[in-house]
Amino acid sequence: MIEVLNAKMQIIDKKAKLYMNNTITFSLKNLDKLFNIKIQNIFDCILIMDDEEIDLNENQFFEVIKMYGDKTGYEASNNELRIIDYIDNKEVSKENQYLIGKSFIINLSTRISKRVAFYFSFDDDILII
Amino acid sequence: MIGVFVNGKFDPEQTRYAQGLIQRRDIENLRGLGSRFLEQWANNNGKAILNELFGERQVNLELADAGGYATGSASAAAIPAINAGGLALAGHGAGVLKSAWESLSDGYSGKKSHMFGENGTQTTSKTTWKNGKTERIDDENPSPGKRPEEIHYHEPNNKKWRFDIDSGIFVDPKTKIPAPPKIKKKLKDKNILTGIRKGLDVLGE
Repeated sequence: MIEVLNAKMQIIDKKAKLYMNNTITFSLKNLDKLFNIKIQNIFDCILIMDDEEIDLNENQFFEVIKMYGDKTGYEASNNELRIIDYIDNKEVSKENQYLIGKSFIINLSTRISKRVAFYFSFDDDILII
Repeated sequence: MIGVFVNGKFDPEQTRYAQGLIQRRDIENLRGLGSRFLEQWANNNGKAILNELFGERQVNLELADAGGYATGSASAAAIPAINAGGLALAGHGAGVLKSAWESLSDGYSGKKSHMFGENGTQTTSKTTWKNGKTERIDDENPSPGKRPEEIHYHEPNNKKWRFDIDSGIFVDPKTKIPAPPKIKKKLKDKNILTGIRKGLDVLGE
C-alpha cells in the first residue's frame, strides 16, 4: 500500500502511533457492519452497500451515472464513509478515527481484487474516507 | 400537483422543473414563471399555498402589485387551462409559447448549462446540519467543475439519500429511485432546508 500524506496528515499519523494501545468501544453489530461491510460490483463499479443489494439494468445504470458525471464519481460518492458512524462512543479523537480508518481500508483492500485509491480527509474533527 | 402542457401536450421535463422549484421553494425561479402563473396556481390551490411558500407578508405585498413578480415572460394566453388535478400551464402557438417559456427555459438551461457546484468551494464532505449522533445533511464537492456537487441527507441508521437538484427530491444515490414518503417529508423540516441552503451557498449556487 502506498501512502501519500500532506503536512497535516503527517502530524496526525505521527501522533496516532502514540494511541495504538487505546481502547475504543464498538457494539458487535457495528464492528461487524464496518469490517464485514457489504460490497457489490455493479457494471464494474465497486460499491459499499447499506444493506440489501441493488438490481439495475444497463439503461438504469447509465441514467444513474449521469448524475455523477462518470463511474469514478458514482463510486466515490457512494463509498464515502465516516468511522464515527460505526463507533458507539462518538467522542473519538482524530487519531483514533485515523487508526480505525487505516484498519478498515486494509481490511477492505484484501476483499477487492482491483487496485483501489482511498482518500482520507477531515471535516473539523471527523474523518471522512 | 402541477402539470405543464405545451400545445396541449404534457411536458414531463418542464413539469419536473416546475415541481422541483416548488419543492425547493426556489422563490427566485418561481417568480420567473410570471405573476399569472402564480396567480393561477393560487386560484387553484388557495392563496394560502403562496403564503406557505413565500411567507405571508411577502405574498400579500406582491400580490397587490402583479408587477412584483417577474412578468412579461408568460402572456395571459399562455396560461388558460386548469384541469381537475391541478394547474395546467398551456401554450398556444409558437409566438406565445416562446414568450411563455422564455423564463422557464432560461431558468432551466441556466441550471443545466453549468455544472452544479463548479464555482463552489472544494470540499470532500462538509456537514451543514446535524441532529443527534448521525442524522445530518452533508455537502460534497470534491472536484468542482469536474463532477457535479452533491447534497445528502444521512439517516440515523446510516442510509444516505441524495438531494436531486433537477427534481428537488431525495433519491437513492445508487439507483436514483425516489425516497419513500417518510424521507420526502424531511424536506418540510425547516432545519433540513436550512442545511440544504447552506450547502448550496458553500457550493456557490
